Amino acid sequence: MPLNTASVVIGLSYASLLFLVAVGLSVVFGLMRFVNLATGSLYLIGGYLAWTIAGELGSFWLALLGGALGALAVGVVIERGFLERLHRNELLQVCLTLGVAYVVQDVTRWIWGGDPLRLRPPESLRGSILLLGSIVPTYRVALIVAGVVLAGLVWYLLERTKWGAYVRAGVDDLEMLECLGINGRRVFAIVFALGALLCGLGGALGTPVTGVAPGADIQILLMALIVVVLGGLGSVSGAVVASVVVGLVDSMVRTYWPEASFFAVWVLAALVLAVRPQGLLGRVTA
Amino acid sequence: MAETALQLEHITKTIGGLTILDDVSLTVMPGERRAVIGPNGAGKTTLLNVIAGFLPPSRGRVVVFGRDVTRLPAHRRVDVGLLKTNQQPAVFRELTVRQNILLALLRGRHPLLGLTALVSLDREVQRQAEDVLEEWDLLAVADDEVRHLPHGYQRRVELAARFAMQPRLLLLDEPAAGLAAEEIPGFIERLRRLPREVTVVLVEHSMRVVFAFADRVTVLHHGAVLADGTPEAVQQDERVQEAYLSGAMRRGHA
Amino acid sequence: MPMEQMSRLRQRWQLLAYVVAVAALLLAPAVLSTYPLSVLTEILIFGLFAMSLNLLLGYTGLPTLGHSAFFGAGGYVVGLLAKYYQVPLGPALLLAILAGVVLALVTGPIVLRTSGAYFLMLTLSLTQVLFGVVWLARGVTGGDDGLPGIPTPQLAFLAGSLEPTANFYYLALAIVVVAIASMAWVVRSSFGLALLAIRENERVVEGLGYPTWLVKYAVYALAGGYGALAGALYTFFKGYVGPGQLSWLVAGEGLVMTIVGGAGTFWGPMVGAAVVLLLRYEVSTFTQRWLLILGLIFIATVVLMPRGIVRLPERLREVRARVRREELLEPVAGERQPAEQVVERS
Repeated sequence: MPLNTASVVIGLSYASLLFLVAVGLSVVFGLMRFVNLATGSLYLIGGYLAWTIAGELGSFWLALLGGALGALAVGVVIERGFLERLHRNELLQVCLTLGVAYVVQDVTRWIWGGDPLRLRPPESLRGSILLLGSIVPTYRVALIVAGVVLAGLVWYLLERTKWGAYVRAGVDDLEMLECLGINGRRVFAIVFALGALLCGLGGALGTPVTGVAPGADIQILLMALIVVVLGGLGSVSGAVVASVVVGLVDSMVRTYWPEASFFAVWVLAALVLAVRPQGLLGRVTA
Repeated sequence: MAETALQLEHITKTIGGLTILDDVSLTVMPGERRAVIGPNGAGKTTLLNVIAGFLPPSRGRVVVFGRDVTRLPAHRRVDVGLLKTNQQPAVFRELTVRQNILLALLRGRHPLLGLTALVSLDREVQRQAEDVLEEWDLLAVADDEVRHLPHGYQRRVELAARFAMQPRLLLLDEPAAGLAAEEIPGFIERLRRLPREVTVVLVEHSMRVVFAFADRVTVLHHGAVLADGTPEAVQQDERVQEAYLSGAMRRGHA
Repeated sequence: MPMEQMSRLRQRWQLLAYVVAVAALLLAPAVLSTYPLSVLTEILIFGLFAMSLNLLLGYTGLPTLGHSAFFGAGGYVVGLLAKYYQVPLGPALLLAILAGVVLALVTGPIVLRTSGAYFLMLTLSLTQVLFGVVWLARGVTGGDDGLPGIPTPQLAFLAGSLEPTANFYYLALAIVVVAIASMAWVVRSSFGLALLAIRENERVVEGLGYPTWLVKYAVYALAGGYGALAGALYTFFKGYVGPGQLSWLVAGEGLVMTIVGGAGTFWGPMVGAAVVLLLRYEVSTFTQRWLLILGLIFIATVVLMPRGIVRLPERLREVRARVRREELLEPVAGERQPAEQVVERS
């Protein structure tokens, strides 16, 4: 299969978005063994808020900030208001986020309508540039850069700070963490909030390329779930690798076999899981 | 020589580079009451789990009543008469006491994984359950969910279910843990009444229970057998005293 | 023996409730017009679907978000058979059930390597794969358009005297009742008791000598069969099957019905299906915001009544039972509560 620079760029830029959504999902799962089905909703909120703010204030950068903070706020409400009460009851937590996903889906449709909305990239990132002999959209390249930078930040936070060490210890063994006198629930709350922030940022960043519309929440959630499952639950490096794999596979399939685009990544996920149920980089737990 | 009840041959268990059990060999004769003691982290619970089939040993053989069960999954080892109790009583807290007993009695009783028979219509098994409940003095709470019962009752439910299955080799993992001091004598009495057809391997911290009950004692230390003999002989053993006095034993003798 | 008297009394009430319910269901076509009757038919079908999901979620503790795979598979099987081969009703339904069972037997070894949230995600993944397959095999399945124009079967002996909606209602009712009766057998069998035990602690069940993996595999296959039967009925009911029937949204809806009604109770999912569908039709007459309301109801259930509607009376009984028990256990005051749970590894 001839590698086409443009589709690689598209794939990698999509991988950046996937990573932003998936990393929170993955670490939260690692800590609390629960799947946040409202992940896509936070992405959707980020996208819509960014669109509105950009329209009102005319600033793309404020729109990014607003989208991220809006999702953070909703995330905090979900965590403080509901998840906290259902501590240690993973099934009910999952159900709760499913309920939130329904609500957000309907409320956003109420507010923003059913048509896809698209945000224009900022002046400086419009147009195309020449990369390795192909013309590619500047914004896509910027997305990749942003993805790399943010992944680096997350990595630094988790691998190089004391707080990150708590999180990693919690992923390995939550009881152990609590034996050390650290409040696992607080760690969880912070991770959940940061995950929501990144989801919202992803939604805002993604709006110029994918647009935002009802259903985008489900689509990104399903893709992020694949990333998390493939990468191994709770593993950040796994999320990076899996995002890139899924992004590239998705983009290649879209280029060369469009009918199978929806199907290919799921087959990939099922195949990997049949061989390695713990994911590509995951460890055997659960 | 008569057939042995349990024979461990060079059992070694490593988890992630850590050696939990180090070349453990021991022989338990039919009818014997064997206690396995040792400081915390000595590998006692791991040893019981290897015998019961919940953990595969890295090396070595497990032989129960002459049959090599090393490769047998845990549920198949019940066929050779092997049953185990846990530190937290291995009962179903959300089921009633009667259901707990029925579950033990119904094991393997009906074809097709039990799909062919309604529990309530199996009069025979209902009668047996009634007998077990009476024998263990559980009739009054028979239809209560186990989670509502005090710890001592839960332990009794666990043992009643195990004995309903007529084990030949019973592994007890700290059965006295969680019992109040004044409950211990009664508990020892109950253990002593166990029929001699049943071989018992007991992991226990309470030395009162160990000395009142065990015929022989095996001392594990850092995953290896440190000493093996009658309770009195083990008590005299200098290495044992050293191991215990070295501060490794965090919990006092109850 | 107040205890026995109480349970006998309860049994009598239960019997009465069943008789009343069956009579009401049999008489429904006489009182209800076509539209409410079709809602009732849909409730029966979704109730069966949610009950099949409950076998996994409520009885065995396996949370699935992919149960629509079976619902859709059953639908496509009868759809294809009825449309292209004119297979009669009976064999078509049996083949649909078989398809569900086979699908479960094929996917079971993959999903049953896991539990908890992993299980949820794996079942979802496999359902999405199936969704993709249906989409891809456009030549056979009609792709996005699905298979329209599937004839709705009728009970021949009533064909002259009843209009089609009522006729199919009786057909669906008969099949659902038989299915539920067989499910009642399953959960009251020795197998069913093992499921409840596995839900709580699989390892202990294994320690009692049960082949737990096989038990889970069997219940997964059964749930697949029941789910496919419900899906087949739904396709007949709608006269149409499309990829939407496979969508994880359907699985999510089944999950909502099960939890709202009461996971792990026998009738809970049926009650949940009734509540959700009645509300939907009621609400949609005055507002478009159905999804919002469903979401809010679900959140409220999870937070305020996590054990479902059906368990409300049971909770009251439980409180009364606790009072009785405390009186009973008074003499053994020496017993200590397992206050400190000694977590220790040696």
